[in-house]
Amino acid sequence: MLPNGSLDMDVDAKNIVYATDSGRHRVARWTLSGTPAGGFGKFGQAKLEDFVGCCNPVNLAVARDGKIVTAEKVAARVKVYSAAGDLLGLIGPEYFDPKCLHLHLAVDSRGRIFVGDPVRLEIQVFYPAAGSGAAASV
Amino acid sequence: MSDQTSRREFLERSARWVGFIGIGGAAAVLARRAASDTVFQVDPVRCAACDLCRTSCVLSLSAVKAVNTFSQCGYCQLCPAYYDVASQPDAMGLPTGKTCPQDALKRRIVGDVDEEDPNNNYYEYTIDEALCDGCGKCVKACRPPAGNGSLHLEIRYSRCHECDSCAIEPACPENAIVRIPVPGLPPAEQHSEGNQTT
Repeated sequence: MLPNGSLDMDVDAKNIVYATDSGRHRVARWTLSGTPAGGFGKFGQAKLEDFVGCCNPVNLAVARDGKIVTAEKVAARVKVYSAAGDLLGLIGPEYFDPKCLHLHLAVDSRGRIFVGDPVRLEIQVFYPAAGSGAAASV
Repeated sequence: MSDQTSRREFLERSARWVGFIGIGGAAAVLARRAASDTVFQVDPVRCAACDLCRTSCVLSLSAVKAVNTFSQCGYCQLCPAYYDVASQPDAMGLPTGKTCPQDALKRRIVGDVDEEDPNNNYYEYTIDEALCDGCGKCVKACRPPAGNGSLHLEIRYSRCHECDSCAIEPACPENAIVRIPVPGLPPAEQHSEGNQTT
């Protein structure tokens, strides 16, 4: 993995490290000892589950229940994936400034997704949609 | 009495001239030394990648070249500085056109190679300086948010005549051609002109 200005990481409850491998358009998993533990994602412009453009995803956060939240630049958007890498939900670019290079992410114990937009200087909170496990804006 | 006065005036005038010449000479020496200790370079923060480095340099192929800072580069397959992202996509979804009109931006796969899925590979981007004309199209395309901003323009001293009179400097609308200390000089000998290092 080649780290660059887009490197972000988080650790789940099982001590698996998740990192943005933006050069490969992937979310990479590692054990705490540094052994690769798989990952998901690929480059693509047609399907929502793929990561578009140059160097995406740029940010990520892992929820307590194992879901992975990613943020992309151009267009700025946030997506929620299952631990297996299946796309569960999308928070579209209409919520964020298009000039955002990074959308800072955090997930609390209730599954609420906090997204910091450093261009608009605001933090938005998104609640999981009932029953779907996906995030929906409120 | 008049003789004494004119002698005194003559001596005072002579001393004044000697002083002026001395100060002027010292200033000229200092200016020459300052110029020889500094060189012209592109300030990447001010640079608008406007194409004037290509057209204003006295050399037929500009001494200004694109340079990639690898620590900032994403090594992506879809590099907006490499591909013209507005061009028609191919079957793989990749653009068919290139950004550089000179085809000076080259790439090669680095690290572990995945033959089956090119998305799994890292691509290292370098500039063929024999082809690069300093137009800055790749620099512009690499700028955030589309790119990581790892490409910038730089005056290559191996090509620059270093005649102490850069033809691009007066043409640059952003005042991005600045004087910087000669790279490699010890700090004590460096002047504080310019704000960029290479």
